[in-house]
Amino acid sequence: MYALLLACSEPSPVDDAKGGEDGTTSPVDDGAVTWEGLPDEEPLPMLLDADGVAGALDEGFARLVGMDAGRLDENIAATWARLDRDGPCPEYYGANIGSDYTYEDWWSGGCVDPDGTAVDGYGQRTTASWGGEGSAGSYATGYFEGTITSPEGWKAGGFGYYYLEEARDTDGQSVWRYLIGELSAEAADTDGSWLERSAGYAMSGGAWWDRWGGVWMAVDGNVPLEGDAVAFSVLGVEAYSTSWGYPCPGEYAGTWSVRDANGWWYVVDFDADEYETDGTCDGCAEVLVDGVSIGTACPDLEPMISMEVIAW
Amino acid sequence: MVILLLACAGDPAESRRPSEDSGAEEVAPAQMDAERLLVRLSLDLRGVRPSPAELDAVKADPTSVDASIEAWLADPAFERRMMELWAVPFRTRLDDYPGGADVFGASSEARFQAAIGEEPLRLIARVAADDRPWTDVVTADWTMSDAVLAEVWPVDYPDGAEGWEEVHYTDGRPSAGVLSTNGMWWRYGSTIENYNRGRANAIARVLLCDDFLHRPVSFSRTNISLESDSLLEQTQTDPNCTTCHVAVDPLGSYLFGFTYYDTAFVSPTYNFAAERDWANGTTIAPSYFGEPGDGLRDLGRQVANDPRFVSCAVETTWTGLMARAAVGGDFDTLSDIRDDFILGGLKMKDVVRRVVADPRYRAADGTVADGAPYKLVPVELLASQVEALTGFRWTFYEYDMLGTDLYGLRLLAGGADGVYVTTPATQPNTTLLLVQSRLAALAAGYAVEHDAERADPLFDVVAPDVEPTDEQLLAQLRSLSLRVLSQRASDADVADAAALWEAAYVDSGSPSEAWALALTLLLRDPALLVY
Repeated sequence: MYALLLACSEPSPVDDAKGGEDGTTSPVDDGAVTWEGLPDEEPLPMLLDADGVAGALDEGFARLVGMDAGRLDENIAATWARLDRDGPCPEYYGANIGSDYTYEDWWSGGCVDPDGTAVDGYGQRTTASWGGEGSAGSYATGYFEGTITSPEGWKAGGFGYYYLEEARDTDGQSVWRYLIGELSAEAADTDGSWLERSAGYAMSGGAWWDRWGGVWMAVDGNVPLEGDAVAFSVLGVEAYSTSWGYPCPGEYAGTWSVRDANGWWYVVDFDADEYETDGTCDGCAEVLVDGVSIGTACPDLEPMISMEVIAW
Repeated sequence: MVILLLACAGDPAESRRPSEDSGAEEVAPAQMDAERLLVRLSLDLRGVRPSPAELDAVKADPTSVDASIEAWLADPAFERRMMELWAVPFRTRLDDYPGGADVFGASSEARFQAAIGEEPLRLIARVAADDRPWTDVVTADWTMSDAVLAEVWPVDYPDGAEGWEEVHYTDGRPSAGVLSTNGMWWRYGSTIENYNRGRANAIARVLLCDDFLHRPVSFSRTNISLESDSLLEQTQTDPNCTTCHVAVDPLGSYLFGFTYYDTAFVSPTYNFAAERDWANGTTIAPSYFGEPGDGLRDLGRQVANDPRFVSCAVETTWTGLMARAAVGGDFDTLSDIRDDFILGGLKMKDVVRRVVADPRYRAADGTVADGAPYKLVPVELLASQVEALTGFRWTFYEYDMLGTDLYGLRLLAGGADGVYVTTPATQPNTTLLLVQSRLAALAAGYAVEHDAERADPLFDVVAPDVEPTDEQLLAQLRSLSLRVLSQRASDADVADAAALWEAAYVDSGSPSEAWALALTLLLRDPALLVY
């Protein structure tokens, strides 16, 4: 014989509901217990003031638009140079197409080169040039999506496209240059673990330069930083020559943001496009954190506007 | 004769009882006997069958079950069981994560692949096993890593360690428990134009038990433009779209720090710079069901403060231990458990205690309304109990054959891969029996060969390579039945098994081969699959 006694359920929790010692629970009239959440917590301190933000804006923008002068490009170039183009990896060909002046490089791989370089992905680059009495020019356009890992462990992976066109005079000097493109990449260098300096770059935009002082630049993107400011991001940043009617030589338009190591984002909206109506083209803008001003930042934007920092 | 006294108001079985006026004989809801219950508890709480001594003890004193529960909640194996329970909703245990060990510099592909998906599960399991407040799941400033994962993840894994350890990310990412783990967001990626919506739904589904995909929506496909900009606008303006997108999109905006630019679309390093990419995407700032926030840390606290987070933890644990979804009659109980969970400081073990004490968990048969008298062992329990019994773990190189699909048999054995099959089988099927059959043969052969090396030999009456006397043969078969199937074999069953053993011995001339056959048959018994 089985005698099974199932005791009644324990007294209702509300019978002795007393609320948590941290005040996060409480009984309510209908007998249920309410979860009232975690106790309030002091937010982490902000690490930057308005001047610090201004400095980070300078550094971030220089890094973003000057990235091809950095280690990313050096490493990609060095790795690319080592590739055995006659070998089985990556599959590669180059050919004149269309005319004697149009050349296409194409590669595709998912294997390891004899020297230990791993290539995965594909890319294509087309170049063309023209020349004639009084003028010459060229364009290059390309697309890639892939990862290259060097024998030393350096790695770059990403995707993007670009179109670069340039006109030159008979002396070979640039008359104008035009670039548009988009690049997103993870990269890491060989100092210690490749993780130590891995970083994400992302940018899209375009630029124009001509010998008569015409410049234009538009960019969206972000780039990592080091120190108290760990990241920089821009959205809708644009400027062009005053000779083309740009109203505000001391400012770019757009939203610029800096993140500190504690997670605070400092947002700066430059109002260059409003110059003609409110006359605030002073190179300064309020720094907002969660919509609250913490001061005014006046970064030195002149090198950017003059494109001195732009490596393109 | 069974005498059952149930006098508790609101008991789910009560509504099914015939009224006194009906004249029908009352069918008493039956509960498992102590030994059977002990088997279920042992498998659920520590992944192995009870030892013969434990079965003897509970047979002598059925009330000792409660002490066993407490002991097993403190057993290190409980942590693994919690991981396996939460693996079902998390669906992170893939074995084909992009990139691979060679790309990221890990020393073992199999171990790296397995560890990625285990990271968030190990964190949850540690919170449960250590009786830490459940809110740590989404607020902890630590994660879990083993040695192989630490070769890739930027974490402070201790020098010389080998197993899973509590570690901290060293790339400065915000602290938000599982929400900060690479394992979570490598599993749930996002395309450029999906803006982390799938990830947002993963949070809602796994941590809030509120799957956006289960919300009713109704709209005319002909009114939907597939142009990207127009589609984005519609998600924010069309009432049929905003039903979900008003919450999904701002939730996804918290997660842009896990935007990866590598073509494998994964990176071990948090991408601070992309955190505000929502401004260039949906343009919708992060907020949690209408409450603005800024960053993962805020998100973790917002999830922790959500009453659904607490209720979901209870429901998921209930579902995992009952091996079925919660049904209408369960919810009053779940509400009570949830209340105690809160009052007790959100300790997961309290929830487990309540579930395994519930009459539906302990139902002996179908007389208990919504009971779960028979559960199919999940593939993890098939593997762990066989390993505990025989010392055999089925691997192919370093791949766990019952824990992976690329080389293994997890799906065939009733498991879930988290992508194509998202819930484990609850009924036996042909492929499971085939896997069990193969596993049984391999494990039995291994056990016979290696039994002498074990501290607790399976062959405790006579060594398997020694010809037994008749008495030894019967005693050993009886012992094996109790050990492997937790059953006290009848004289007839033992006699049948002895005859089979004799036939195999005559045929092979080897006692070891005869024992391997006998053990194989025990390991192939359906009783090993149902508990």
